[in-house]
Amino acid sequence: MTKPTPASPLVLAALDIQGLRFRFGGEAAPALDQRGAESFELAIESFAVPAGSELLLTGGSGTGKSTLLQLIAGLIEPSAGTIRVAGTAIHQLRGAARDRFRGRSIGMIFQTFHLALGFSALENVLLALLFAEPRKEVAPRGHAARAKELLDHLGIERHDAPVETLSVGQQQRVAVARALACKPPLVLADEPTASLDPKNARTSIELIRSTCREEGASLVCVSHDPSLIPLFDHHVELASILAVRSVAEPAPTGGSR
Amino acid sequence: MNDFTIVFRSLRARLFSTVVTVVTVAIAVALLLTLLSLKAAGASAFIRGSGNAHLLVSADAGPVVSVLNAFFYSGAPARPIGQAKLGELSKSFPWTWVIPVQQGDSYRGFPTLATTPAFLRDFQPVPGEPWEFREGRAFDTTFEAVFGSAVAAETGLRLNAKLHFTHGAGDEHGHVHTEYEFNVVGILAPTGSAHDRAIFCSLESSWILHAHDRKERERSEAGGGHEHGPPLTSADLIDDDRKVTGLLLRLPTRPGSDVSTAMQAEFDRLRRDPTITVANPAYEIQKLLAIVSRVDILFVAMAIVILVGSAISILVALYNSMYERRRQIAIFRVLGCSRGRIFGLVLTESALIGVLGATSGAILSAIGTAVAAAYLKHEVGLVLGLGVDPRQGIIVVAATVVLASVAGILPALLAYRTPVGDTLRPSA
Repeated sequence: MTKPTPASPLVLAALDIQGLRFRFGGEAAPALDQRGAESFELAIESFAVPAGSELLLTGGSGTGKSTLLQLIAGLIEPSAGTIRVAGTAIHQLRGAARDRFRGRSIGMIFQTFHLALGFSALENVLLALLFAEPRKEVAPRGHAARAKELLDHLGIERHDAPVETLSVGQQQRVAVARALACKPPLVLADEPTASLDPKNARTSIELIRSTCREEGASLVCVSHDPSLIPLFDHHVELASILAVRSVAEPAPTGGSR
Repeated sequence: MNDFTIVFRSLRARLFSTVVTVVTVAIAVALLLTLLSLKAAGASAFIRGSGNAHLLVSADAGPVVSVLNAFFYSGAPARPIGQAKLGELSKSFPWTWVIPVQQGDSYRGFPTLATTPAFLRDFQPVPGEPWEFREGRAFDTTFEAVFGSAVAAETGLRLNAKLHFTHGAGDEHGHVHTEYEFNVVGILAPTGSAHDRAIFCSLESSWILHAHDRKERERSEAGGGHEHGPPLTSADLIDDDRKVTGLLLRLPTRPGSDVSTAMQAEFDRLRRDPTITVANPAYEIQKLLAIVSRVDILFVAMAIVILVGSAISILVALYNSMYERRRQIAIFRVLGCSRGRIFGLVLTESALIGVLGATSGAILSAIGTAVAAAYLKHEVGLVLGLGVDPRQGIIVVAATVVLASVAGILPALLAYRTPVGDTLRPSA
């Protein structure tokens, strides 16, 4: 999988990126300021993550990690190319449909967990299940059972405790439970260990990997930290698939690295 | 867990700000509803009093003054109408009733109204609401007095109490007719009109007081001493004593037919007589109300401005909270919440503040006006139709919720436009 592979209609890739171009500006622009350039383009020709696999993507700061994750999650628009998550071209979905698809199909884990403060551990998991449903639908009874099962499995005993009262380790478990609540085919982890010491980082990665495996989700973990490489079976240097380059006006189209 | 749970959590998370904005809205709504209630009560209290009289004839300077004098006791008419004129007017048309009244005396500041027994029988201070006696009966002979409810309440005098009238209306320093003792024979129930502050007696009682004054004047002009003569009786009255200050007139009515045409015809006919002033009390009161209501509208407009101000306070509170809520909004978006749903959540929050504020304001105002009305009736004997009109209440509450929702649009738009990626960066 370290080699870019074209999407196959027979083996549905968890993630499949083809001919992706993204012109910096707007939301993603500040990340590039330090490079002192005026116009940049992020490009990926072809990249796929087969269903059920786990992968570590590494790259230094400013290599476009966050931008790539936002593109995959459908939070920003590419200027060209296609990103398919479990076979669905996410950018072809509009508005609420795309948001709901993201809610159902992509679990996200962040460095600082980004739990919803003021809500309990259980409610944080329920929020994921709630937003993945169409608005009119009444929350099915199965939601609470699913959320409790996940929390129990991850060793969270105080389901009703406000998340801000939980330890850092427990908060991360809640974040993992929330990411996997909707049984997504793909989990994106953005620097999940950046605020942990090496020992806890290992425990944390193991937890994320094992949970994804149990829930049948593919995992794409993005990090600047090379010490994580031994913890994964597969590792891809971001620079090998992704180019961030200065572009002349007007931007060339269909060019390669 | 549903979208409302999220909205309630959000309101609870900023409890202080929520309570302050809800209280602001509640005060504004309560103020508006109370002012609307006062406006209605003031108007109806003003309309009460002229009752079922169609026309008022007096020798006053103008119709407004005559109505204020006769029905609101604002002062005593200066010029009387003589017995001859009274007879002439009474016979000029087949009136249902003609009730002569005479004002000019008082007791401890309360004006007296000398009249015929028909006043307490046929005249209704509020159309459809005849007089009711709380105690006792109507006067039927001289020197019997009937108290309006407020007079009884404020003087503390009960049935069979004795009192002396003072010459001059409303002036407590006038000459007291100690020679003639009145006996309280009846106390009226509150009517919600100015009549509650009046004392009623027979015309003859009043005429005798004035005849007594005339006799004293005659004696002193004849060079006699200033000593008091013996008390007078009805037999001592001469025609010149038998004066009245006003005539209440009612035209014959039949169910289903309009009396206004006949009333206008009589009004026009009587107006040709230069020695009298004729007034249509209902019309004069409407004219006065039109002037007063303009002031009322100002108050109501001010209350509406305060309500709009409270909506702006919702806007400011929500808008200011948006920055600290950016992170949560971004989290919700990542979890699959659409921009539209975020917009809806903030708008619902704003509307909910409106609902909470408006409902508590309406309850506050309903309780407040009910307590005030009960107090006024019990302590002052003043019947004010205070109270929140349910229809008005519903309209104000609904308008407040709409206003609060409108106030939520800007913060909701801000939430709608929250960028997800930038907000969730660890450095953000």
